Amino acid sequence: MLKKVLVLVDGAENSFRALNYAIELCKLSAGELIVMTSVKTEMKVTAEAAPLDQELRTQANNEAVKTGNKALGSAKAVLDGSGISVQYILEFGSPAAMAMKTVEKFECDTIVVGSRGLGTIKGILSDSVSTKLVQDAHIPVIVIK
Amino acid sequence: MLNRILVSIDGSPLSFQALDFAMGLGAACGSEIIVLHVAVPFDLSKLHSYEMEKLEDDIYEKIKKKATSKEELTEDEKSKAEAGALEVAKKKAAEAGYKTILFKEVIDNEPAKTIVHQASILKADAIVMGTSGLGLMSAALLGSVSGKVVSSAPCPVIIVR
Repeated sequence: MLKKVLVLVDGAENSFRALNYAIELCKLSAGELIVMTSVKTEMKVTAEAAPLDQELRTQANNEAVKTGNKALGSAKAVLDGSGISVQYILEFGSPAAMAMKTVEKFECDTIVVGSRGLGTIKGILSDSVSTKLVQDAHIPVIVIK
Repeated sequence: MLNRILVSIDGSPLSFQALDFAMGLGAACGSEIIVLHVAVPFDLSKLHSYEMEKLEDDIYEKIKKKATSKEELTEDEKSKAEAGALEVAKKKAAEAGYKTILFKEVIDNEPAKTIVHQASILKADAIVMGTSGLGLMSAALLGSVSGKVVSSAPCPVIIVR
């Protein structure tokens, strides 16, 4: 239990609370931490498309990559010197779906995620990651306020 | 960090898995666990017969078996498990040898509200509970207890599946 903990960060304050909580949990259980952030790519153009599109795509994705790296960078600043073994992952796509994929890939046993506190209906309508994870995940989910 | 953990149980196999999870976590942190069962009054399907204080052994075995296979309980088993939820929890705690554990039964017709209220008056550091396994829309329409607790709890909520 709590040997491999997945924590989702997006640079918001709530996600840092989740990160700190995950750090404390990992210290207790001597577990491994996987920090993931997922950015939605604006341009959904496949690699096979015209060369002009490719250029546009990299440009658009560059912005997304920058945002993602910024979130991971600030997480790294928190984690530096904590002595926990950490992996950083940057994914593209819907955070909830990517989190589920990462869980399978790394065989995580717990997910820690921050919450915006929207409530059920608002949560569904505004694409809440925590609401989705609570519904769909097959492993325990810890929701931090 | 986790001095007091509130575990909400309803008698389902998943809720006892939540208890296991809490005891594992609690053993690591040396925390006090409070097991809460919210009994819904006037719900005839869940009516608690006070002659049935002693839990039938076969239902305990069934819950244990189905918790690992994640099978559903039948309606009859469900109501028995619900009525004896705390008894099962006590047995489980004794088996695990967990010492700092308390049991509490509250009668209220709004389980989510009661769980959140108890968490705040007991100053719990985390709430651990299972989920009914409803889908996204049906949970929103029917009102899932775990969903309500997640959105209104004063502390981190751990949903066990």
